[in-house]
Amino acid sequence: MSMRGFIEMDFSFGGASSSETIWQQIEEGEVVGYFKADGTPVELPEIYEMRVASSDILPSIPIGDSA
Amino acid sequence: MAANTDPIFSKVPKVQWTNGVTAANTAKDGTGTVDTVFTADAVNGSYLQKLTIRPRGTNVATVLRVFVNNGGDNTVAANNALIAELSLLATTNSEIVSIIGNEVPLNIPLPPGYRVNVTLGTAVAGGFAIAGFGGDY
Repeated sequence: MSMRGFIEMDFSFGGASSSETIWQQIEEGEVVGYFKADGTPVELPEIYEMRVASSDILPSIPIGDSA
Repeated sequence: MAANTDPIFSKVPKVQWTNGVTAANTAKDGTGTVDTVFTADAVNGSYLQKLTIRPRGTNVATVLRVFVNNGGDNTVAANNALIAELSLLATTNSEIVSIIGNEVPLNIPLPPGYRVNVTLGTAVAGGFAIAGFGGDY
């Protein structure tokens, strides 16, 4: 089974106490990019923390989700 | 003081673990959010033979980083040392096929109060169960 789609993530960096939502894009089990809810690519800093907000793998980023 | 000293062997077996390691922390100095797998005996120290890593379902590819911490606050980089890394391949959950796990051989003595912490380089959904096998001196 190929693993592809988008997973919702909570992302923080720089010791921030709050996190923001971004979407992790997966192709064939590999992470190929991160995006905001509006589809804008996210360039990650070198050091960050991230955790899965929902383990559901969605075929696309849900429209209207805030980021 | 340790009970056995010449040669030194562990006296009491110790197995400790952490389940559901899922979060990413890309710091290479052991700071930030970590999962503690193994804590050495507070009086005599411990020996840690190995870590076993078992996927708990569907995960993207990631990397496991293993740190020794001297018992101090891990947010202070000087208290941590990166001692091992292991590439973890993508896994797909199955109820009919076993998912391949991994082992990290360490074979290290740990002074009293030292800890072994782990992080992932990429956040995963299913997570990993990580256990440390060793013994207290």
